[in-house]
Amino acid sequence: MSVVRELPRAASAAPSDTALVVAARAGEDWAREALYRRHVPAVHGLAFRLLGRDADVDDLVQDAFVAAFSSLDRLNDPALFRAWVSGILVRRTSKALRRRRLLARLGLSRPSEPVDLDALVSHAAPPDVAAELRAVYGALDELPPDLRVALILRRVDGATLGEIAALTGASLATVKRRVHKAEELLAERFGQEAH
Amino acid sequence: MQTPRRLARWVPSSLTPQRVERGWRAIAARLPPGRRPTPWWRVALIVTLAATATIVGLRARFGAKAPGALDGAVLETAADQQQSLTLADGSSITLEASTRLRLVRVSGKDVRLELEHGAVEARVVHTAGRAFTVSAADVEVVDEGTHFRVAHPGDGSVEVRVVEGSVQIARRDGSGPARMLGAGETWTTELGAGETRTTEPDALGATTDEPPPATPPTEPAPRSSPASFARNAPARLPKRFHALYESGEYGEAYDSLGPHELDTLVANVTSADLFAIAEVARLSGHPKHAAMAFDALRTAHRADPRAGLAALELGRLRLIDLDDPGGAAEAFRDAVTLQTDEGFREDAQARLVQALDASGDIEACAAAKRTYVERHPDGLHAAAVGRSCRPR
Repeated sequence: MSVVRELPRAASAAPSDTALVVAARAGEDWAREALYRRHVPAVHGLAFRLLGRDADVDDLVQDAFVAAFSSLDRLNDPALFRAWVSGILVRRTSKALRRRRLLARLGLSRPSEPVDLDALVSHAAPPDVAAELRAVYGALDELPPDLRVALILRRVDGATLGEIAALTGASLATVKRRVHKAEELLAERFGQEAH
Repeated sequence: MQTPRRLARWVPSSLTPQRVERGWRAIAARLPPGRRPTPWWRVALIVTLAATATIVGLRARFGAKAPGALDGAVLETAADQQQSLTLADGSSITLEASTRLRLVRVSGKDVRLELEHGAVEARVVHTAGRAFTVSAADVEVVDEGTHFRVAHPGDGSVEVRVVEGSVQIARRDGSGPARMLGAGETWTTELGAGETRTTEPDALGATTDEPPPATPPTEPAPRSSPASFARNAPARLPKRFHALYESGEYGEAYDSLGPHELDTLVANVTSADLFAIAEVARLSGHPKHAAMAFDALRTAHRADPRAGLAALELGRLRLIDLDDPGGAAEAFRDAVTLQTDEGFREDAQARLVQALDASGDIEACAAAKRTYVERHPDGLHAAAVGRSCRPR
């Protein structure tokens, strides 16, 4: 028995992430490149905000995409490619920060240059926003890496606790604890009431 | 806990187009090779892949993971439609407008399609032991891997065009010898008065059938004069070149062309081969020759579906590798004219802004920026374009 179907016309000429992931899994280089070009602005921005400086951002972003493309079969929902590669980036950044902190404590590496707050915060930011960002980033390097990542995701990206848990791979309870502790340390540093 | 506000936009990163390009090259160098590049196919598939998500749903509805669940289904497109079907192994079949295709058999070991009328383009994942056959009228086309098109207007005639790989063509009744058709070759049959005539490709193996013309561009002629790419009878590239290209050995493929004679070669090959030469030159680190080949393609084959992509690639090479932002702007402007895919057109318009910015032509940059913002207010490149064209 034959079934005649008139297929609906596509709403947009741009392929969806699902379509690109399907093609990338089949080994199509152009689909991987399309995914990279589509999502690198968001991923690059996230890396920059987590690190607070431009150094190492490119390497971390490249590592995250290489890891993502190398393990694309593990992505359960192709429509969530951006969230997935962002999670890879967040976890790799945490690991890199931990390694850097350990090497610095052991005297095996020079400490990083302090965050350049003037260069970091947009000159167009409203005064209250600028003040909040300077407070967060001013304390960044003093925070343990896991607290730092949780704080940036919460305070700068406005992520929910559930989103932070998904990105970091930690439990919701752990994320709550980290955010609370980071806020406490921030408040101690500036003598302000935690949010 | 109260959800805080989002402050990310006040912490802008400095992601420039150059950093994006460098990033991709670094990533691509670290990834295992996928398929060899097929830019022309990419153009066609980009346009139709938007329907793939619908097709994925269709597969689920039919329970397509069960073998044979699609057997007997008939797909039909209207006069202004084009749709794609992606099989479980990633093979794709694109139905052109006014096409009716019956899925006789779809399983892991046997795919049989009947083209009742219209045209389909198949991009087949080669699977050992699996037969992939498209029938039209009394002709059977058996795929040997990978990309071909079959057209059957409904008057009994059939045309088969191979883009990559090869197919075997035979009569369904088993009469007459089967024949192989390779990349770049076209085979047609016309039936009338009970006789069969075949139109063979010319002696040099190149097709004499150009793709249907796109909407004629109205912009001024590109910088390169068409006369400089006046074509003689098409030449054939060495077989070794295609084999090296397919296996990803771009350096050796480039060397096999005899780089000192590339000027002559570029002026005398088919559009498909021009694209292959351009890609090989680009991927083997020879941007000047890549630019020459892309320039020849978009100048001498303006109706070719690859022309827009060639102009885009040319612009990127000129901007990033050849330090020629003025030339890049010209190429991107041409790409905007030639591109039929909206996503690529947006990309070309954004790159035009960046090229004009890099060339220092602030007035033209601002005009191009206004055009981008009007056409693509929520475009992918809106942030980067917004930061462009500032007086220095």
